[in-house]
Amino acid sequence: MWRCPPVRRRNDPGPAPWHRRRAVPLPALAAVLAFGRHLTVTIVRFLLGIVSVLCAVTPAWADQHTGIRVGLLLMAIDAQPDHVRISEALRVTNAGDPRRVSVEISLPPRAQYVTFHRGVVSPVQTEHGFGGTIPLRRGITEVAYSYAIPTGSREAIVRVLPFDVERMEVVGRGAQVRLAVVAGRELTSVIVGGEVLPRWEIRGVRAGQPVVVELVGLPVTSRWWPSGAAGGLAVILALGLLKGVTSASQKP
Amino acid sequence: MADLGSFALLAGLVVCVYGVVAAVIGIRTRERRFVETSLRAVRAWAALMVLASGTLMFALVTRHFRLEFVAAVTSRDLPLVYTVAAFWGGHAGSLLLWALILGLYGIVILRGLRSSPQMYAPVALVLLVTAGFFTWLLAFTSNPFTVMQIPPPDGRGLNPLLKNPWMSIHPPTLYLGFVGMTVPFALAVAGVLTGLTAEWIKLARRWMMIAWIFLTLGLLFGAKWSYVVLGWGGYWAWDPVENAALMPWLTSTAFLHSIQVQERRGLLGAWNVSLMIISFVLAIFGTFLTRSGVMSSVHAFADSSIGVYFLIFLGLVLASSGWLLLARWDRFRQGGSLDALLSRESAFLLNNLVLVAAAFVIFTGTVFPIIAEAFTGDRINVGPPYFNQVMAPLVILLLVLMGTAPLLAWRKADAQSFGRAVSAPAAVAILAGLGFAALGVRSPGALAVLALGLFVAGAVAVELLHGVRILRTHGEPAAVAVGRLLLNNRRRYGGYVVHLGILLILTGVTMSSAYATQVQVTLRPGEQTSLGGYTLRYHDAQAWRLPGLQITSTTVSVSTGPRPLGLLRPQHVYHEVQDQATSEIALRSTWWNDLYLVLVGVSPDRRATFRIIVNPLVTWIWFGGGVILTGTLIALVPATRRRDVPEVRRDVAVPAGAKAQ
Repeated sequence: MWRCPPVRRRNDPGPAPWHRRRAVPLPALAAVLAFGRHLTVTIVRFLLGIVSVLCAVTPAWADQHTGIRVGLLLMAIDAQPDHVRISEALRVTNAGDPRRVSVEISLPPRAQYVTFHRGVVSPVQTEHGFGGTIPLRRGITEVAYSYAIPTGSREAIVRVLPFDVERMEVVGRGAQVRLAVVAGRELTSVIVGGEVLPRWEIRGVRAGQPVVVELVGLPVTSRWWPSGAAGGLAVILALGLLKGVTSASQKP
Repeated sequence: MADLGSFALLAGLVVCVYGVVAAVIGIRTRERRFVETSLRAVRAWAALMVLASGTLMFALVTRHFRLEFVAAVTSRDLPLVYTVAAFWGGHAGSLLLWALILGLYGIVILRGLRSSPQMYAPVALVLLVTAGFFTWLLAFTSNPFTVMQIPPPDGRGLNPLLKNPWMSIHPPTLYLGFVGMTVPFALAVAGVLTGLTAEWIKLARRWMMIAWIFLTLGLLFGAKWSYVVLGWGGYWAWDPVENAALMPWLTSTAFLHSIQVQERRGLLGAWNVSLMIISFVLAIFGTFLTRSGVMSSVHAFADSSIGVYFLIFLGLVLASSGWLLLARWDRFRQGGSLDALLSRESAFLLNNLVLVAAAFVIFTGTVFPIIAEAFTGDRINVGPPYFNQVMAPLVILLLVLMGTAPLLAWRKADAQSFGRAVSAPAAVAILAGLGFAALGVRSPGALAVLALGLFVAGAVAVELLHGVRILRTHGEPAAVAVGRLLLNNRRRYGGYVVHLGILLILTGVTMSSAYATQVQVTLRPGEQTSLGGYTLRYHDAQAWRLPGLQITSTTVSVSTGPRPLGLLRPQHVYHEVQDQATSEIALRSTWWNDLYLVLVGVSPDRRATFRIIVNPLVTWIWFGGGVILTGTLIALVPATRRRDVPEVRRDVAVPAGAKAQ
């Protein structure tokens, strides 16, 4: 299971692997004495090959040796009638070798129709969200998925992230919709296609720390008019019929 | 969009109630304005159903997945033709189709009643009560405009088995038949209330024929779909859903014969009204069988409220129409009685009894599992052996009547003349039977159908020749006489063409049932096998993926003797979204037989298992359907004014003649 390591600066490569350190381990010295230099180098290369393969296929083990961080999590909230569609895009930076890591990302309890747009391979549903594999190349990898949550006219969406995030930005979309991120900071709104989109950001979100997004003025469908209009029609027709029957009975 | 559809349904229900009240007042007070109000209600209801259907169709085409129905039956990759067909691909949509067709029928029948305005109110009443029932089901139990709070990004897609051109036309055609039974039923009620006039007979016959031809085509389209899609090599399995459509077909066929007795002799009025009622009840019963879930299990029926509502509606229809029939029984007493046992009306009566008996045995076999399960808790299946055994003698009896009835005169047939007329077709039949037996046809059923089929065809020929002979005595050249005879007796000769179509179907059914051969073989690439004169060589298998599909295809070359006939490519398709596998059969049809190839599976070492079936004369079944359609259209074309055509009276004892209508 991938737990994001502590955030590091980009120019800080982190501790070097043991075979790149200057210290020559005693077992290596013993091997050179026992098998000769060339054979020892061959054996060491062979063992390193196995280790690198293991790094690639055993993410939990590999995580301990690589620098991965989530620099930005962009959360776009699209308000639709009776529900919001939330798209999340993660910018994951991998300073180490390309590898595949297993992730489990929790989602809000009422999330439905989870769709994977980018970055997640073989996703499976889990108790609290979804699990999957992310193939990380060296540098930046983008991961994007979306889901929907049923809503009323106002909602508080609580998002608990399973990893540390350097910066999280929340963007809202939908006429009349106002949003606020608890403990967050409001940014200048952006205008896309003539539509003003409010933005909030929160920095240094720790794994497990809840992020609360409050939404007000969400569109809610009112389903009264078909019944109301049909009821009105019934009243009009009944009155017409009643008038017809009454006038018929009054005829001599 | 959902709101507009829901409004159309609710408003339709309101309009139905309003129209029913107006029609009842109109019938009681005979005030014209109430009658006209009820007619307007029928039209308004039809317009609202058009609105609801248009809204649903728009939602389907635009993939409005917020509607539960749209999400259940379509997906983004569904081709447009199947998106349209998805309208009736689900329960709620098919009920809306019922309502839409009823609305359109309502508008047309009201236009056709201009010459009988006294029937307006009763017809409108029946149409609106039926419409109200279906609108109520649509509005409150099976609403196609039910909205999901969150629309899915994509729909589940249409059932793969329904993605077939035949399935695109089978349900609407069948529904045109089922719903069409409402119009004769409405006319039956109107007839009981206002009198069975000559105009009533004309209307009843015409509308029953319209419903009948759609039911016939619906049955044949369904059989064709079953044949080319389900991959079992057959087209009729005595499935309850199939039986549900066959029962009203049989009773309406009986009506189309017995109405002629009423038209000619003024007899069988009550019987005809009863047949119209029964046909409608069986059409509703068919919809109940297919929609209530009762056929899968009694418990499924108990869980579904719609089945209970259907039963209540059926009970109300039976009780009210039965009461009406008994209350107005004196209207039917003025008819006479049969003059002789050897007469055309007797033959028609016997034909009616056989057809109704056939409907009854099918009904018994269909509902027996339900009743047995309700009482014992165990499901007992009544399969094809029961239906084949009980239907075979009835079909043979019907063939005898089909051959003899045209040769019998109305009122009283002269035995000697009848004997003379029947001798030639009977001789042909006997000789043909012996000939077929000599050719190796050993199945008694097949021999009987083949021989009697020729007997019927011979009888039609005798009838035609007799008419031509009479016209030729008036100086007509033979070709002109034939043309004039057909043109001026469209109903009669249209009926005979329909009989020929029935013969073709019966021949195809009998021969393909008795003489189909099949084998299941596993072949390596390059190996070959033979069946029924065909040699099949398996070349290779290929597998590929399309979005949502895993396709395995094989290539098989077919030859007969040294002559190559081409390549067949049976496929096996796995539909990932629905987790369902289908067989795409390969078919090579000729007039004499069908080579039907099903890919059962391909093993990793490329060995392929095929089921190969050679079905004789199946093409005759589909061709017979075309012949029936042609005959019905001939019979439906209104008669033109006859000029200079000598009338051959049929109410005297002549063996056969040229007069009709």
